[in-house]
Amino acid sequence: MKCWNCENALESALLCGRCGMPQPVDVLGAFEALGIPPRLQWPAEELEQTYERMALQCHPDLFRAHRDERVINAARVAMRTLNDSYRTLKDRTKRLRYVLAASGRLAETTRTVPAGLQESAQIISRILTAAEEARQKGDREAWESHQDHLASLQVQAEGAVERSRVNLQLVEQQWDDAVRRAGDHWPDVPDGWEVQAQRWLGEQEYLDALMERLRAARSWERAAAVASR
Amino acid sequence: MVRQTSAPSAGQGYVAFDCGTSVSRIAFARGDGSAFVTDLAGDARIPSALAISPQGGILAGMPARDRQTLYPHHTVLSPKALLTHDAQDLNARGPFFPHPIVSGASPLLQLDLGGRARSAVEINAHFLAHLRRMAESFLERPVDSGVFPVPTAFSPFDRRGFSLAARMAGFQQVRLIDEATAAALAWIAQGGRGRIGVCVWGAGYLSVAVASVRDRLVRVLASGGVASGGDRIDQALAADLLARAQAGGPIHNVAHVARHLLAVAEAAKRDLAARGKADVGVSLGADRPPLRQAYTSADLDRLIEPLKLEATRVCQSVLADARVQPGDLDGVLLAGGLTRIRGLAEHLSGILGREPLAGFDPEECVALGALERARVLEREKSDIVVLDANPCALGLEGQSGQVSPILERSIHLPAGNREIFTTYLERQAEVAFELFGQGTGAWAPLARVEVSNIPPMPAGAPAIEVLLVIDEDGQLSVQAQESARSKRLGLEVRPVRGLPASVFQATLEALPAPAESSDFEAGLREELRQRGRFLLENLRELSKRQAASMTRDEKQIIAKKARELEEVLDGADLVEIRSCAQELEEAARSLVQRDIDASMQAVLR
Repeated sequence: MKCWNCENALESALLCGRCGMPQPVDVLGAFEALGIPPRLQWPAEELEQTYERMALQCHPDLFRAHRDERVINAARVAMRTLNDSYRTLKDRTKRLRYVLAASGRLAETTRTVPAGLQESAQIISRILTAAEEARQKGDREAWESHQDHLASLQVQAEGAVERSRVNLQLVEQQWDDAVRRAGDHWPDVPDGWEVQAQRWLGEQEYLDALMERLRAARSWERAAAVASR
Repeated sequence: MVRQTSAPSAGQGYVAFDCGTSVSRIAFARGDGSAFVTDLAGDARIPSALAISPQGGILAGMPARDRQTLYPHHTVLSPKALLTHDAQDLNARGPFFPHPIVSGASPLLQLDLGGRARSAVEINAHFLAHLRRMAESFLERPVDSGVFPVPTAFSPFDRRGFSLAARMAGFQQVRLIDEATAAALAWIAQGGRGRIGVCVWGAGYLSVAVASVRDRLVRVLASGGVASGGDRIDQALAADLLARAQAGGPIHNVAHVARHLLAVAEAAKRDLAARGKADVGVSLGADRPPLRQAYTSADLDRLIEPLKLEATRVCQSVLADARVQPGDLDGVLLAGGLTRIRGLAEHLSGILGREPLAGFDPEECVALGALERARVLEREKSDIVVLDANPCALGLEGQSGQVSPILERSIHLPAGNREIFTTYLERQAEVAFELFGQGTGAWAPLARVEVSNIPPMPAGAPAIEVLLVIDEDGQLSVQAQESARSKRLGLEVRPVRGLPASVFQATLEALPAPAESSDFEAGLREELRQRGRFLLENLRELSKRQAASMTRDEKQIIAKKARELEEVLDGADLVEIRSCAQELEEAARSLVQRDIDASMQAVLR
């Protein structure tokens, strides 16, 4: 890939190392856009700093003095690609989903109830619905009456999140090992990895949705904001 | 190869136009500081009013506002709000909205104004053209680049309509900025750092944003808004006064009286906010006792209750999206005239968990912040980089009937997403889908997207890729292509509120090319001459009508100033024409006011 402006060979996908011009690329892998190896384990802060550092190099605001529309348009496309990529990668669950999809191994994953919550799943759903309905009607008393139960359900759910996290970490570690062996490039999918990955992805998505619902149901104000949608 | 260009040529600088719902302000850069464009009387507050007479004559700003009670059907207040209000809302206002709404197939509001149907976009275009001419006249240079703050509640299509209005008004470069983000920029320009919560609340809209500022990067973490503001209070008070007036007997000229009562109500609201009480006295003609009504702070408290509920909902939503707890903010900035009502200011501080920052004029900081944006757009180097947040999530309906987001709220702009569609019939040539939007409320239909001209293929074979992009101004663009073939697909986007994409594009392309800059001076001179002649003619008639009420001194000084203006009018010196016109207006000010009062008495009888 060559820079559209100075024809220099590009090292970074979104920015030319020689002339500093942003590149109007929008069909690009998310990891390539951020210029990072395709690992699954990333501390949130490190990702954010990478994103911010790149934003301070690609953003259209940096190129306003150029009356040439091509430059500003290139910056717009580069910034959009950067934003879309960061959005995909900054959330752990989405990151795993992206890696599965990009490897061609994303099956129709449905949300799976974790083993530890299977007995409670129906109860949780029932209590949450009751609390949400009470909130919608503005019935504070009925809503309060569910809170203790919701509190204990939240503790159970948090336990399940912890356990799932451990499983997720194993899946992530396996992938990252494969990445390292491939010299920080996209690896061949390790045998049988996708089965585990899909399973924990399903559980993770169920738990993400559950925790969101629980958090909303526990706060009178927050529930209002969510209920109006 | 692109090289760094030199400094922008003189006369091409961006100017900030804060078109508020009730008052507009124009801010420009003067050296390192800023200043406001003022009218001939030195006032920087330009009433957002537009009058179009049946013969097509146009008045805007203060002159339109002065005549609003005399010509309520021709004078539109708050043109910007026409972009988001629907016919039902407006009809429900009864005599307070006297403009006939033209019902038709257009999804854009059309009013019967000045002899024909005019769309909300056209009406805004006239008003923006007036502001542009004011700026050019004041700055004595062409103004064709503008930064326009818009309410967060504006959908991507409302924004597009507004930017089309600006293009129709003659602006070549149109940049929009979310008004809450603009206010945050005003704070940052004063050295603000950390996390800030901003609320802009004026006559028509509430806009809330939370932004984080670190070094050179400004990240708007979340924003939200609603079309609700001080106008509600004015309407409620005016409706109460009208009901009381009607209780005393039938009112003729209801539209005129209603418009007058709106102005009275607005003054009463200010009194209530400043002093905690308002004593209203309205003359209803010579044969009836005047209407007297006293309002207290209890009345104001009652009136602001529904506004408080809206504010709570919007602020909670924004705080939740930003993942910020009340009290975590390093600063809270309240802007917009409505925040002068202490009950509302305290309510907002309460939700955001912090006392508001002092040292910011609530009515100026949006314009000044927009000017900061203008500075960034002009400079060779940037001090700050702004990553704005998407205020309106976009979603598609899934199999289950539930809407799921494809572009979430609060993500950084510009942002895009691709969706693949396919056909379910053999040789199906068209595919359509509904695009939903969600701000701080529930999911609502936003637009219908129709893709046509699909090459004939078996069912399920075409892969129609639709790319949706929200740009930094919050406007949406849609592109569609079919991967297997290179044949161009047809695409139409029909918003629920706003112009269809094809109409928008055609209107944009049909706009006249920018005038040559060498004609600029001549154009400006001609405009000033026209205004001068109009002033002289008007005063001649007025003096005849009010001859009895004029003192000898008054007659003499007006005659003297009129002569002076006549002498310079056909000359080339713009400064002289302007200053003579100014002096004449000053001399005739009380005469004009007396004439208006007298006419109003005649109308209200």
